[in-house]
Amino acid sequence: MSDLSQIVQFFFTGITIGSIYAMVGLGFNIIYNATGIINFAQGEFVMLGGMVMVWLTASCNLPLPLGFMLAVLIVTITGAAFERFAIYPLKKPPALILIIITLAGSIIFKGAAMLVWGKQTYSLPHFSGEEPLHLLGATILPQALWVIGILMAVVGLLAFFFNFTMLGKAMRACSVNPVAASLVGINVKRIVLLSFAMSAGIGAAAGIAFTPIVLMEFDRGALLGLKGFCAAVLGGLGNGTGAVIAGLLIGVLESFGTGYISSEYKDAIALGVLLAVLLVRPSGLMGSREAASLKEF
Amino acid sequence: MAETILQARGIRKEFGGIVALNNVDFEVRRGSITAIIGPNGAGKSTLINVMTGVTTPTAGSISLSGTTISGLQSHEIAHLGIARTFQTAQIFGNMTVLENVMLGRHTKTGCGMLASALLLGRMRREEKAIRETSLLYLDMVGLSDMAQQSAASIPIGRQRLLEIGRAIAAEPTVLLLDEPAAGLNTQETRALGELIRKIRDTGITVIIVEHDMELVMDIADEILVLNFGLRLAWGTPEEIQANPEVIEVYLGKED
Amino acid sequence: MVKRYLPIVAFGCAAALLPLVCKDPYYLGILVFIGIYSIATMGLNLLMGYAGQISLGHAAFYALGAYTTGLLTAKYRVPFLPALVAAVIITAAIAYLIGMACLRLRGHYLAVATLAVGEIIFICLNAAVGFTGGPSGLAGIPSIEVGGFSFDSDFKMYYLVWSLFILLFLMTGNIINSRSGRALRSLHSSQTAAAAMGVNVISLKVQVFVLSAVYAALAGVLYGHSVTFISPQVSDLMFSVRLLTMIVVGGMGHLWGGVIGAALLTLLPEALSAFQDYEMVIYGSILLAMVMFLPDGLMGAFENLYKKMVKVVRARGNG
Repeated sequence: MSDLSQIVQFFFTGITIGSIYAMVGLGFNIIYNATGIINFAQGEFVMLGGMVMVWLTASCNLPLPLGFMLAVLIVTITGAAFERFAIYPLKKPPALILIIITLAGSIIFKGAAMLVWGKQTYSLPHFSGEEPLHLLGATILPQALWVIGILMAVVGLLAFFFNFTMLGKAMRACSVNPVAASLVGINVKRIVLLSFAMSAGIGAAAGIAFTPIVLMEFDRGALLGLKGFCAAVLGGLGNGTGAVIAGLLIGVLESFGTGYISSEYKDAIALGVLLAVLLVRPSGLMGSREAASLKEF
Repeated sequence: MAETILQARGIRKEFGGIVALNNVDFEVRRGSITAIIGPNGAGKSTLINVMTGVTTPTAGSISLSGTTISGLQSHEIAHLGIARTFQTAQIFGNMTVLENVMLGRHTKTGCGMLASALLLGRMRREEKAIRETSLLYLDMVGLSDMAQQSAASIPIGRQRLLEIGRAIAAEPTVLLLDEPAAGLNTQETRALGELIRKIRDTGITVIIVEHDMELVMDIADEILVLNFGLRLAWGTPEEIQANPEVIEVYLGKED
Repeated sequence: MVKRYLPIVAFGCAAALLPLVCKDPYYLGILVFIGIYSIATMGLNLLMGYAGQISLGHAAFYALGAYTTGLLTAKYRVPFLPALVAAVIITAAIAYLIGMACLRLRGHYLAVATLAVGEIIFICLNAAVGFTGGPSGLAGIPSIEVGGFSFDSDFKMYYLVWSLFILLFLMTGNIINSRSGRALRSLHSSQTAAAAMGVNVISLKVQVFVLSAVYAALAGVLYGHSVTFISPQVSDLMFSVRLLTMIVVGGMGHLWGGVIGAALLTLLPEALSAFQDYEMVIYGSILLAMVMFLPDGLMGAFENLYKKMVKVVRARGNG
């Protein structure tokens, strides 16, 4: 394979995995914007999406499209249930407590997944065949196109939702000023619930799309969540466009790093980027300075 | 005429599109009690926040005895000799009343973690001194009998006094009080006035932001009137009370 | 003032006498672990319970301690004390860098950064096979030897670990009741007011973060030389979660919180035989339940109960 083809190949791999990071990052941003908290269980939603889909298609023999929608729905409900059960009952919990709660949630999800599905790796059939396509001297799996396509669909739907629907605008109002939002009649608690549901759904979609390519197991969530957070921070916490660009960027960096440097350390690349961003420019590529600055926590 | 201890020149503060302070100048004399008054939204709290490093002015400067303090961080300004109270009492609820005042001695003491961990002699001596001094200041604000109680458990009125006690324990050059009389009845307000005078007599210059006009006219040597971020008037209580613009702002135009 | 030292002195006496009564090496081994975890949680408690910040990767510092002295003494024949100093310096330096980067930001960033560092260390320990032994771990760590005296039995390690615990306990208590301690505690209440009173908030947070990391490293060192074999598992997320749960259960912001949590959660797996599989769900559930219903932990609950009882007794006395 020529050098150029190799570069293109790494690029394709990069934007495929990057799309997942972007979607996880978007999930983080939605919850962050609605509540100001970081949801440490975000990665687990991705894992659950894949696992539930496997169960629905392999054990329940549901056809793919139905399975996809049902799996996303189940994980969405799980995310909403988590919010209702663990977050909603608390009155004004300090940030420290909320972090511990979402962390505990992620551990519970991971542990439960291990009990239900064991430690083995699961796979899903590719959505539309496994024959790689040839493009620009490199190959790309059809499934990878599905992944990228789902990212674009999610971005499109979110853009429409936040800009053209009352509910979406209400959510944006909440993120700017929750007190003012509640004063004009927006039910902030419901927005919080919705944000968890949406993030869970997006994460699930990402996990389902991704499983055919890299397979899924119970403990994949932590690293995916971390790297997705990395995308959110690099893009500017709270900034959706930033998360997408950053996610793709990180995916590409990781891909090139794996190819040219080493593969054992590949996971450390994204994490290293996170630490570098925090050191140098915590507001990220597109975020505001104020967002990162020291407040009461 | 006493020297100028605090000087503000051309203070401007913008928040996004809003101009909270617009070219405010004033000077505070050492040993005086200066009041800052004005209707709600006039910029009084913003001015205090600028003076204490909570926010940086968009333009202009403030200096304390010649040293520029605008642009410095809060803790640096505290070390230079300014102490303050807050509109809603920010006492440390997770410590006792006495410990709150002892924290007030932070800028006047220096033992770090290592000396503390090892219980070195100088640390023990310093702790003893901190405790004794703090008890004196606690007594000055009349809270001695509550010394060992949790600060969160004492009534709000007492919490305000505690905040003042904590601030004066720092033996500051300038003490800033942000609406200390809010919610106090006439008797308590009079006691507060006495306390402020007592504090001034120990050599501390007092700047007080207040709405309670009786208190202000009673104790202030000089008054700064703000309105919509602008300096409206400056003078003695008599001058301010006679100032037609001030009267208009507070009482409405005479038709 | 003497009243303050009474519990720890009593504890020290009990701890000193225990091995003379109970000589079973199995139980001594468990007690050594409880002591090691108590040291690690003491530092983390300072950070979380007093300064109000959170670290989700303290296992990284634990692992740094264990692997630094482990590698230096096992592979390079470095004597223990210099190896210990190296471990402390390396851990403190890394903690300092992370702290300086994150502690000027909102607390969430430190939480994620420490999570990331924990993962990075885990990845590196696994990947650097030639250096650290990779997933198969590092074996043959010698016992701690100081001045010719070797701590080569559970009995001796017990005394070493618990003596160190008591020493650190005293020092930590001294810090909490000092100028620095008040400054620290003020951060948990109102950072704005603390800064207004002259507390350098960021500097203090960094100091506490570094200190807590060093405690964790010390615990790791003791661990490595106690079990003589370490693997990258010591740096994995579950260990950080375990430490966190110990503090939450015992009581954040209470000096004894760490020990109580460490004791309970070390004995728990001993009691439940099928623990291995259910560990994650159990820890997650305990953490969630504690934080939702008993956020002050067991020590906090006891304290509240005690205060209520005092009120009742006082009321009855006056009535």
